[in-house]
Amino acid sequence: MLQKKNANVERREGVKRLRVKAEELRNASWEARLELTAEEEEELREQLQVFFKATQGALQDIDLNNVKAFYYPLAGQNVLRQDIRKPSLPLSLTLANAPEADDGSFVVPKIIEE
Amino acid sequence: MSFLNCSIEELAARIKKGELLPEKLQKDLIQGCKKAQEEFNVFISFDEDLIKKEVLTLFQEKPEDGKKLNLAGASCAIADNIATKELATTCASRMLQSYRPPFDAEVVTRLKENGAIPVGKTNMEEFGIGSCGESSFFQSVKNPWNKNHTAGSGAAAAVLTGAARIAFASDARGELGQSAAYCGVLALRPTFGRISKKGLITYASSLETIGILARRAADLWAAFLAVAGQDPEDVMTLLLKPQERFYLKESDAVLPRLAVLSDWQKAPHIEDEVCELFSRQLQKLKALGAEIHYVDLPHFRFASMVAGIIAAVEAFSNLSNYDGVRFGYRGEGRHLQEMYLKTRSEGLSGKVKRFLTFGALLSSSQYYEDYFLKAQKLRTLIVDELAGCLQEYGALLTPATPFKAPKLGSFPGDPLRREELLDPSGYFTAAAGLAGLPALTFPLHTDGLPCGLQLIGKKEDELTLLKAALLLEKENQFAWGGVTVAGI
Repeated sequence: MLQKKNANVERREGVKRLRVKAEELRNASWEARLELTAEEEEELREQLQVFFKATQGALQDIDLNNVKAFYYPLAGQNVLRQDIRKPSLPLSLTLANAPEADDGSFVVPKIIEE
Repeated sequence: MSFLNCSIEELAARIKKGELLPEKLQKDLIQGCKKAQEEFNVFISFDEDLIKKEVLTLFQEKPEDGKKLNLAGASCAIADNIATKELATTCASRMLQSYRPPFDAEVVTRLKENGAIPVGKTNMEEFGIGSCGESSFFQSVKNPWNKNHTAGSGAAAAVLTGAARIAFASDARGELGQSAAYCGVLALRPTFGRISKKGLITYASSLETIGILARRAADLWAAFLAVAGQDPEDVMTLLLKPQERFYLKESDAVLPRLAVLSDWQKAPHIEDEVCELFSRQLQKLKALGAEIHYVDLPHFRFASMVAGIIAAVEAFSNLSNYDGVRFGYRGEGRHLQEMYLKTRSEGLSGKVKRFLTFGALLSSSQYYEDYFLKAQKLRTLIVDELAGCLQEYGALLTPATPFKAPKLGSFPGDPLRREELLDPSGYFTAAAGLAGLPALTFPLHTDGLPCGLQLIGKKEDELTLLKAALLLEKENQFAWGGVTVAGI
């Protein structure tokens, strides 16, 4: 069976995406634990369309196959400190900015909806 | 008598000689902050009693107390994403509206050790993301040259108006240089790792550093020396070699061999006036005998796009801890997940929500390899190109921004807003952040809104950039008077 191609091309054919699917956008905002209003979602979709169109040339046409990814400007190494006991942040300071605290703990709503 | 026309070195000397009394310093500093706030909304917070206390502490210091006092009396504004324990640190967000850090950022500690007077926390873009000036929960900072336009940041506006002699603000994708250009002041983004990030609330960890703004090159250098150097509590800081002198002199002015992008005029949205002003500076420098060579850096034009992709993914991760549990704003929810959703949806601005959703999208399995991983690889090409260029030349010279300060009051559909994810304002400034290189913004003043030029330098070679700025200062006279509100 022949598959019709439309503007939303599958990933296996490379970077040809011009319009993000509504479901992808909703999944992404959920991952970020955000609720976008209808206006915010529409504005982002338009911005994404502009973004995808502009990035086509750069990300598709440049040969990046043998190029290493650049993660961080400095080469880091793990640093250990002396194994000497030091006090942690005092509880009073830890809880000082808490929206709600009780008996030395942060208070939050129940985890499971009834 | 205003001391704004003297350098930090001269101010410190006058204080040590007793030519400036604490009462006068207190009065002028407070007046400066109030006026800058009333007219341009520069600050999110400042505390008159705190300013008075800091001034008294300075004047009570005795030489045997061991403080360095190199910045004695220098008023200093701190962007509101840098921790201060005596004032709230809000990141210009409803999310952190009443957040009080338990410690000072290392940069604040070192400033105080050198006798600087922190005067207030400046307004900014929410979490430092961008420079359009419209996402702050505390309303926009108005540009002192024209209130209908953005200042980019309160830190730049504080320095421009004289409310602060120096200011510290973060820079990830060139926001520092952009706001400096919009306001017409100098800015130094140092090499990544030069200044401790302890206490900086960062949104893009591999790009962001703390930078400095000032009206004169010598003040930038003095402020830089006071705060740069290793910090055991930030293991990614670089050792700063001891310097010959703390203060620069006019005789230090010198230009390195300069490279200029051969296609700088092709930057999207570049304004005619910016082209004209930058071209005129090039002619001026050539007439002074500067060696200027045009270079091709074919991947430089992708820097802003690459930085935007990387910053969005990093911000998606870095801002995930704003959940209403331990600090900050909390939205109402029947259960924990609903609380998270309400907290973040109500606590963050539309702009930040769009940016984080964009970052989440690019982190997903359908997009990660095609966008984020490719952006990381393209970053390598840009970094390597810059390194190759700077092996031959002392600095790369570009305009700071393609356009002058944008108008406030943008709406969906505005050309610049439609391209928000591509960040057109960062066309020239994003590359330094990608490579972790130092960059200096030097203002170009006009009758109306100013703009700026940018020098990107070799790693750990801030001094060459500052010496070049000294020479540019000699050749460009600025009239600050019209926008100065008060200050010292």
